[in-house]
Amino acid sequence: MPQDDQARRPAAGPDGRPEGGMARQDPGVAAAAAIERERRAVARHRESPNPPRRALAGKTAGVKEMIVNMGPQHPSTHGVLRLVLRLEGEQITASDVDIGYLHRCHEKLMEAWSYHQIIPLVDRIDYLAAIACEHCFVLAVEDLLGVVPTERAEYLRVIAAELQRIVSHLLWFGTFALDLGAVTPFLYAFRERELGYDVFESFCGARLLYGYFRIGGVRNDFTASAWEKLDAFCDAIAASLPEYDNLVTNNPIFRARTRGVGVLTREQAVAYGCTGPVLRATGVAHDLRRADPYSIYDRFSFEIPIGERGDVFDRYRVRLEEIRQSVSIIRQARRDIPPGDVRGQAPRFIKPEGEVYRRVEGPRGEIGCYLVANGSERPWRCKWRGPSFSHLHTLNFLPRGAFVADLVAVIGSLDPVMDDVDR
Amino acid sequence: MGLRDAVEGAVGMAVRLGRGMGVTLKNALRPPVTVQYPEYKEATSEHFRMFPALVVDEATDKLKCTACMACVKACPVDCIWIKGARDRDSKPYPETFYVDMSWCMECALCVEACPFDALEMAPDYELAGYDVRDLLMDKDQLAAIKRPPKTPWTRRKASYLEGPDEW
Ligand code: SF4
Ligand code: SF4
Repeated sequence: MPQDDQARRPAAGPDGRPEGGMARQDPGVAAAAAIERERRAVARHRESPNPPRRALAGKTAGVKEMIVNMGPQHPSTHGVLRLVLRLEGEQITASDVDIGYLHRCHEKLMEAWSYHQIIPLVDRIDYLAAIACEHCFVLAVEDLLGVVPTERAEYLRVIAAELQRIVSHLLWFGTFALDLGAVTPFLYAFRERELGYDVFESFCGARLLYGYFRIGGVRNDFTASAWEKLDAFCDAIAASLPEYDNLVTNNPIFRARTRGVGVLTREQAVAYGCTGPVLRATGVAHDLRRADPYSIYDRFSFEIPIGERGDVFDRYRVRLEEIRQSVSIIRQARRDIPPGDVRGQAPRFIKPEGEVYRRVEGPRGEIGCYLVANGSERPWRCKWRGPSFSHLHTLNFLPRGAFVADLVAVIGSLDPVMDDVDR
Repeated sequence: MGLRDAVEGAVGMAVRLGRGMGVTLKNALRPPVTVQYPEYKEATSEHFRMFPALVVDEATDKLKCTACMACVKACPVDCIWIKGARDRDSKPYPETFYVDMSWCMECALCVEACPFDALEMAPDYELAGYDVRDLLMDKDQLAAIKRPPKTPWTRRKASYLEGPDEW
C-alpha cells in the first residue's frame, strides 16, 4: 500500500530544488544530446539487418537508401506522430516510431485533483472517445467505494458509450478514406457525425468533452428532444451505411489498396497487446463487452464482428460492422430502459481506499485504469492504459516491405489518437 | 484467365464504380446540410453549456450568490475568484466575482456544487475577441448574460439579420 503523500516527495537539495529527477539542464547540452540521439537513430536504421520483404533487387539496384522523417506534422499521422523511415526508392525497409509530442501530464494531474474533478480530465485523454474514458474511470472509483449506479443510469451509460463508439468510428471512417485519397466519404461521414454530436449536445450539453458520467450515476436524464434526436440519428446511420458500402467498401480501387496490406497475424496482435478492432480483424473474437462484461452489457444481444486476414481491409470492415452492432445495442437499450433516478446517491466528498484495475471496451480497444487510492481526497496514483499506444508499436514492423502510400493506409487503419498514446 | 474473365472483371468494376458515383449523384441533388454561419445559426439545445453565469433573484433583484466559495473549491482549474463581503443587513454577498473564460473548460462542476443555485451554465459560444483580457468576466458581465430562447431542434436566423430571407 502507498504511504502518505509526504513520503513520496523528494528531499529538497541545497538550492531548494528537489534533488535528482527534475534538475534543469543547460539548453545547449540538451540540444547537443538531441542531435546525438538523432544521429544514432539514423545510424541504427542504416545498420538495421531487416531485409525488405518483397525484394525488388533488380529494380532497386543502384537506388540510394534514404532516411525520411514522416511527421510529426504530417496530415495523415492523425496528430503528432513521427515516423523515421528507411526507404529504398518508394519501398520502406525499416521504420521507427517516435512518440511523445503530445504529452500532457494527465496521470500526474490526476494526483492533484479530486475524484469528481478528474472526470472532465479523463475526457481529454482520448478526446474522440471521451465517454469510454469516463466510463472506465467511474467504474474504478465505484469499485473502490462499493457504489452501485442506478438502473436507469446504467442504461444511459450504455447508450452514451455506444453513441460514442459510432461517432468515433464515423470520424475514423472519414479520415481513413481521406488518407486513401477519397474526399467525398469524409464529407458524408462528418454529416452523420454531426447528428451524433447533436444528440450528445442535447443530453449532456457538450459536443466533444462531455463530463457526463458521475460517480454512482450520470449527470442528467435525457430530455424528450434528446430521445427524438437519438432515434433520428440511429435511422440516419442505418440508412447511410449502405451508402458507405457502395461508395467505399465495394470500390475496386479501395479494395486494391487495402487488401493484403499491413497484414497483422493473430500471434503478433496478441504479442503486441493489440485490442479492439485491430485484434478482432485478425480473427480473435475478443471484446471486453463479452469477455469481461462490465456495466450491463450482458443484457444485450450483439455480434462481435471478426476478420480473417488481419489486413487493412479487415480492420475497416470490422469497424463498419461495429457501427451496425452499436446501433442495435442503442435500440435495445432504448426499448428496455426503466424509469427512475439517474444521479445516484454517491456522497459529494469521497475518500476511497484500495487498488483496482478496471477496463472497458473503447472504440479503439481496451481502455484500462489502474487506480491506487490511499484514503485521501485524491488518487495516490492512476495508471492509464490506452489502446493506441500498443497499436502504434506494430508500426515498427508492419510497413516493412510496403510502399509509403501503403503506410498511410496502415496508420489510418490502426486509428491512433496521439493524445491517447502520449497522455 | 481468358478474355472472358477480363471482360467480366472490367464490367464488374464499372458497375461497382458506377454505384459509388450514384451515391455521389444522389447526394449532389439534395439540399445542403451546412448552415451559413454567422448569418444563420443552429439553435443550441436545452442543456448546451458554455460558461458559468450568475443568476439574479427575480424577487429581490439581487444576485443569489452568497460567496460561500463552494464553486471555487469545485473548479478543477481554479478560474473563479470571489471576494465575499456583507451588506447592510449583514447578509453575505460577493463583492467581486470573476470567472476567467480563457481557463474555464465548461465542465459545469461549479454549477453542481453551488448550494444556492446561484450559477447557471450560459449557452453563449461566441467568445472570440482580440484580447485575452476581455475573457476575464466580472460580476456585472456575468449577471447580465441574456440566455437566448430555447428552440430545440430548429434552425433560427441570427437576431441581427432582420429583413427578407436572402440565403
Ligand atoms: S465550468 Fe468548470 S472550469 Fe468553468 S468555472 Fe465552472 S468548474 Fe471551473
Ligand atoms: S457556490 Fe454559489 S453561492 Fe457559493 S460562491 Fe459560488 S456561486 Fe456563490
